[in-house]
Amino acid sequence: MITCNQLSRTFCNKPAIDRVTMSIDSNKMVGIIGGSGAGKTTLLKMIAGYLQPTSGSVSLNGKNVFDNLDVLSTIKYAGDDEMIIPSMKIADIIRHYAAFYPRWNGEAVYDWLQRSDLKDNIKYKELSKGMQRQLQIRAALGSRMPVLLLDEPLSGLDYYSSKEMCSLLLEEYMNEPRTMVISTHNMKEMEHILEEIIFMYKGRLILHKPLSVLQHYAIRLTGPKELLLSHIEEKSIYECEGFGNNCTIAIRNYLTSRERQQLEQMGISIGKVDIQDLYIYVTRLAGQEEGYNDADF
Amino acid sequence: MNIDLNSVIPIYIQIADGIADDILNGILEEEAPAYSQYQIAKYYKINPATAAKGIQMLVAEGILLKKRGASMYVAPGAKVRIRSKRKEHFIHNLLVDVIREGKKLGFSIAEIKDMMDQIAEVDILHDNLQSTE
Repeated sequence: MITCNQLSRTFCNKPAIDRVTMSIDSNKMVGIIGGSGAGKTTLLKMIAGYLQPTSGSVSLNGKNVFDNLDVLSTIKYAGDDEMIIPSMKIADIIRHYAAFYPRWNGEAVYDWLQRSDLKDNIKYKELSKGMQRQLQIRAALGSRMPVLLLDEPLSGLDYYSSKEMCSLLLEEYMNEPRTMVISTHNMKEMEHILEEIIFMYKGRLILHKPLSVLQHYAIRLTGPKELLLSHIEEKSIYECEGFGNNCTIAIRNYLTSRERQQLEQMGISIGKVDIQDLYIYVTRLAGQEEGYNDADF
Repeated sequence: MNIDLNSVIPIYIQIADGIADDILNGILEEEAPAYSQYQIAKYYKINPATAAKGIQMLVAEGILLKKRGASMYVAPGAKVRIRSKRKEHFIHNLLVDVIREGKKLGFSIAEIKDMMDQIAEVDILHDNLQSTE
């Protein structure tokens, strides 16, 4: 279990991580969503022991992470500043990983090299950004570390590769369950393979819930403006868009399924609010009140 | 079983309903193996915990049971239990809505009953009635 307790980190007096308190159970796939500068990378690097907290603590199974070799030897962080020497050949990179990680299993890498028709005497710098990312993530999976921290694994990948990467992460998780904490600012592809979601905003953790609960947070209703507004509590409205007589509102979902059915019978159509939009609504709320607490939901 | 990842209905509920449908349709038989969370997760590319949540709902309702460690089986009497739950829903929700909506539109109960008789003779509704027997 990864535990953060009032974890904070400042750079030049600016808080990058602000009093984050949370715990992540072992062997769960958890997603951290946040915009640029939200603190995702800083948080992951602190969990990985690369950065020392300014205050507060981060521990793994009760033991403090920073400078603790026992703990560090069970965590693999993979961001896009992976320490790979650009002039190294792929074969040498793999040899280094295999030597460094006692339980190394390079299947995910070899499989990809073969399918992509890449020779292992190609140098790292000769690979495209996307291919470098593929290699980094697949090597991280190959390390077989019980705790994997993947920092934006889909960045630089095209649509097809992103889908393939999500499938791969899920497949690896099911074949060999391990803790996977994955940060992204594009939840669209990733959403369904995750078990829990964390929202970060300006260094603060503003939400941490199971994915199945998150769907209760918001729904989208479309229909005649007056009808909608007369049946919905105004304070639950996140956003209202419309033209003419029709409008679409996104609301905090306090309705029972019976109430939803009844609205549908009145001619109101109901749709899902995707996680990216939910993030925007929740951050708006969080931005408004300092004492914001996701237990308010 | 059909899952729509973009539906407003939570995925774990769609999974529970989907498994129940398959039991009613005879695709899954009583006292025979049901889908495991891993089979569902692999096929729909979702986290197994989500599938597990849907399965757990059915276990709590006595529709599925766990045997020999982690294997999921369809409980004996599952069909009857599912049907009775859906009958409840039909009477208390669907029928109530039809009557309320009809009254709102100005129909009398007698008129609603007549219309139901007429519609019942039409092929479409007839097929729907047959497939739920």
